[in-house]
Amino acid sequence: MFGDEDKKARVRKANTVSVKSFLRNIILLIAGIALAFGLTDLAIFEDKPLLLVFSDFSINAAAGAALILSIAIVYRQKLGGLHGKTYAAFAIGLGLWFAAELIQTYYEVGVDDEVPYPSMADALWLAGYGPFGYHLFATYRFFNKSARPHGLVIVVATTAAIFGLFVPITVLSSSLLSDDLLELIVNVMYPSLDAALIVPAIMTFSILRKGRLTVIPWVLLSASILIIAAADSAFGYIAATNPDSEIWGFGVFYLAGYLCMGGALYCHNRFLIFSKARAVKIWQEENR
Amino acid sequence: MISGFHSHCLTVYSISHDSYWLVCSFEYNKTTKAKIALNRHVTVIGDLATITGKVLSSLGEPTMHALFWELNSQGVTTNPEEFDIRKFDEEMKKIFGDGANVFMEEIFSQFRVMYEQRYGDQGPVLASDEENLAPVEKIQKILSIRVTS
Repeated sequence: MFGDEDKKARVRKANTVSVKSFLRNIILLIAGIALAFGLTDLAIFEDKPLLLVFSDFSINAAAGAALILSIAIVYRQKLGGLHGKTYAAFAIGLGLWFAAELIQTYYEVGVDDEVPYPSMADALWLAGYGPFGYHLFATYRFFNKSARPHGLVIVVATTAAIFGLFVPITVLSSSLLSDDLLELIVNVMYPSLDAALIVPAIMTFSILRKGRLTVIPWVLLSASILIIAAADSAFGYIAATNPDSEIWGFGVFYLAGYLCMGGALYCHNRFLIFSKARAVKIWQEENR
Repeated sequence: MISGFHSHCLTVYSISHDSYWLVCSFEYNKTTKAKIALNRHVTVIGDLATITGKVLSSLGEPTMHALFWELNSQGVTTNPEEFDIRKFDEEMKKIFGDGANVFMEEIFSQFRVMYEQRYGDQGPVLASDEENLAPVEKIQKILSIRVTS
């Protein structure tokens, strides 16, 4: 009798999420892939066409994997409730960004002409911020009652300070170097929209950071937005201040950003959507 | 009715006829009130469990089932007969961190509305100094003081 209970308790314990080890493993995996990507970039740095193909296809693969995970979540989660709506929006955002990545790859690898800027890819990237913003703001609004007001002030002030530096420099540099108003608007929109995503992401993370099932997805999601925002700002700044320079090395940041998004989606899919098959498996282990 | 009535009056046979009826009536009322309170407590706990499920379903049905599974695997049952709001609150804090407060606030809010609709004629649900308590404490107050008294 007691033996059965002990066995059940052992099986339950084995199936309980070990946050630290799981987070460590997933971060090590993402860091490992990003490191391998960075080292390969360095190794083939001299061969620019190959570097371009490798870099673009790796980023497309990471974005595609994240998109597949998000579609799987929408399929399993359906559209009901907060998670149903927010993850559907997330999938739409990822779909737009994946399409933008494909178009960019087509411009860079498929045709030899100079890549236009702003292009159709930029339109899709910028459109993708809408659904991502909905995902983050709706989730933050739901958990907002638990937020401490001074935390919001700190995050908003820090974000405004960091991106407040980039936007004027980008605007000033772009306006000096180009007469194209559209180019100027696009240059400003990237860091501004990134900043708009960072605030709800970090605020939601601050609310859910102590939760066993919520800490990993929100660490990874916040990290992905921060990495992509940092890369966008730095890329935009260099492009605006040195328009004739060839910019390399940012691929690793976008790859890491998509991998973090994929990791966050995997964790949601694994722990916050009921799996009958997993439940049956654990029940069978308990009652073997 | 009579047999139930007599079963609670086994100790009063030696006293006078009038006193017998008086004591029996008193014993009967006391026992029945306790039973009613117990039944009401069970019903209210069941309603609380139902409200809890409804609040968790605001995240979506598959997430609600995943949470039920996780709670159950940690020994927190959501069966109306055995539901313990304090254990539920503790485990939700482990799952959602500070985010659990949102669910507890909503559960308390809906529970209060339900309670006031049903037993509102018995005076205010909470005393003014109890309004600042944590949601789980407020629910416990209602359950322990109001419902079982």
